[in-house]
Amino acid sequence: MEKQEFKVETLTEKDEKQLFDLLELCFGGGGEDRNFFHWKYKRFPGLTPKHTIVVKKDDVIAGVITLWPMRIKIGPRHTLDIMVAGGAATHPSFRGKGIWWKYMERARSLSREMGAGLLFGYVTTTTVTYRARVARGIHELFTQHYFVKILDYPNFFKASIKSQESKKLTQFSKMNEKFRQIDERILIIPQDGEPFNLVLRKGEIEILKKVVENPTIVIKGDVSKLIFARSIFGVLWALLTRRIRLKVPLTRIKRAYDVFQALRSMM
Amino acid sequence: MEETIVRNFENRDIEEIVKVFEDRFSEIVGYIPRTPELWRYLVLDHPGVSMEGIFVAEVNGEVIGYIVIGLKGMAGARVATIYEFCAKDKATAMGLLERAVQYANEHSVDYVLTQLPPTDDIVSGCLQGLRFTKMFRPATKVMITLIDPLKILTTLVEIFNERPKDESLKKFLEKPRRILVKIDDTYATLCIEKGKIVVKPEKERVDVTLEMTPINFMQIFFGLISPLKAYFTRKVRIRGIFSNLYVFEFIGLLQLKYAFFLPLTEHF
Repeated sequence: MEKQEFKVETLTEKDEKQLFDLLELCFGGGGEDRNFFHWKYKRFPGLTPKHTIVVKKDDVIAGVITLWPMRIKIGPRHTLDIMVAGGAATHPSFRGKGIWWKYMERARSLSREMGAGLLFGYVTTTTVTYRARVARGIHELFTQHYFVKILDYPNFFKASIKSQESKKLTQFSKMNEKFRQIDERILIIPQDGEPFNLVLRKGEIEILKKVVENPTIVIKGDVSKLIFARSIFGVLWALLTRRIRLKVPLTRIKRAYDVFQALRSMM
Repeated sequence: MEETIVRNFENRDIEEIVKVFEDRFSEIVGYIPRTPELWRYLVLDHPGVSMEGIFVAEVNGEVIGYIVIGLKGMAGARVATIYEFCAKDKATAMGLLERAVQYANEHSVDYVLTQLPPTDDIVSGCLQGLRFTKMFRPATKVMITLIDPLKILTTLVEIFNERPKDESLKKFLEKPRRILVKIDDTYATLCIEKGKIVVKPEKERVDVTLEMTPINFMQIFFGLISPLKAYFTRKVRIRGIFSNLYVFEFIGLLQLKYAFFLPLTEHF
């Protein structure tokens, strides 16, 4: 019965405030404010309210997705009309009710009606919707990588921990049990930054800019390789090629491996 | 030799910046072609970008590169994102990137992020030089749903038909051939007629049939996998292959020859 109560329609002017409230609720933590949402979801050339699909229950927006109409370059003198789906947001109180699939189905039919040849979307591999999309016939075409340069390592780690703590279905929370067993003082000496200490104490993480004495593990070198490598084998390769150097008693090698996993799970 | 100057952006630079962008991206597909109006929206109107975060490299008064860096706060950290970065040579690119990183340092940024087209060797060389690390995880996957296979096929054929052809290609196109392409429930017949390929949106009597799923169609024709690999990994099923080995050459002709780069929606 409940399924029939949801209505799938395109945005109307009176829904706009609700739309921006929902976007702020779902994406506000990413550093974007209402000004940014207006720029992205309202002022993009060619974007009209008809390009935003809302799923409503009793006039309350439960979920939303926007389709950006784009004419992309495809050959030396050729363009192709596509839609890029993004800003998929479901209100926390309506999650787990199949809302996402409702607006995605409408996104497909709307793209067809509007003459697009392809519908693109982006997804981060660690999110739940990645697995849902693949299972529902929306396929991965290729991967686009970011490049990162860390300028302040302690603050970078602090921010990563903070952002991961707010997500419940990530590697970080899966690792939590393991975290609680780790009790280490890690000295990190990045090749392009100031040394700092990371203290893992029974699930708690403390980052100290001041270097403490007698660390149990010392990690030196290209620390970003440790964090962003494709897999733990990438980390081992960095150790073998001495891009990362590890100072730890042989008896604690297994614990060092757990620490590596813990650090990687923060991203 | 004139010295390259890296300076702050001025409004008069827009036309030249758009020209630099289009030159650098001439062998890349997937992005929205830039016009001064679109560039204004994407960069000057972007809430995270200020005029002080746009740097231009010039020689003799001519713009030869530029970089756009924006700032935002995220989960308690100061993050800088390089939204656009184009340069005609490596030395210019390095000068611009160093200036952008300096700008990030001046604003107490914790980390700098950027994306770039996979084939842009100039920019990727500079990123490595300034110790940027490729983030393998978390990775951003570009997901796709094929809405209109016929439209894509027709566009690829149009691109091919307009391409200059050498003698061997002209010879290949002399012999009339027909290939039926089946993508899920969509059929199209590709006919080689009078030195051109023609798409007919119906099922015709053919020499060979290619059968593939929408995602495999995209991967093959967007040049992400070779026709031979697609055949041996069963991404494409070919009926009538033994008498028609030319099918691999045929698929190769229609494949996109340029790298595909679709910037994330925040960048467009």
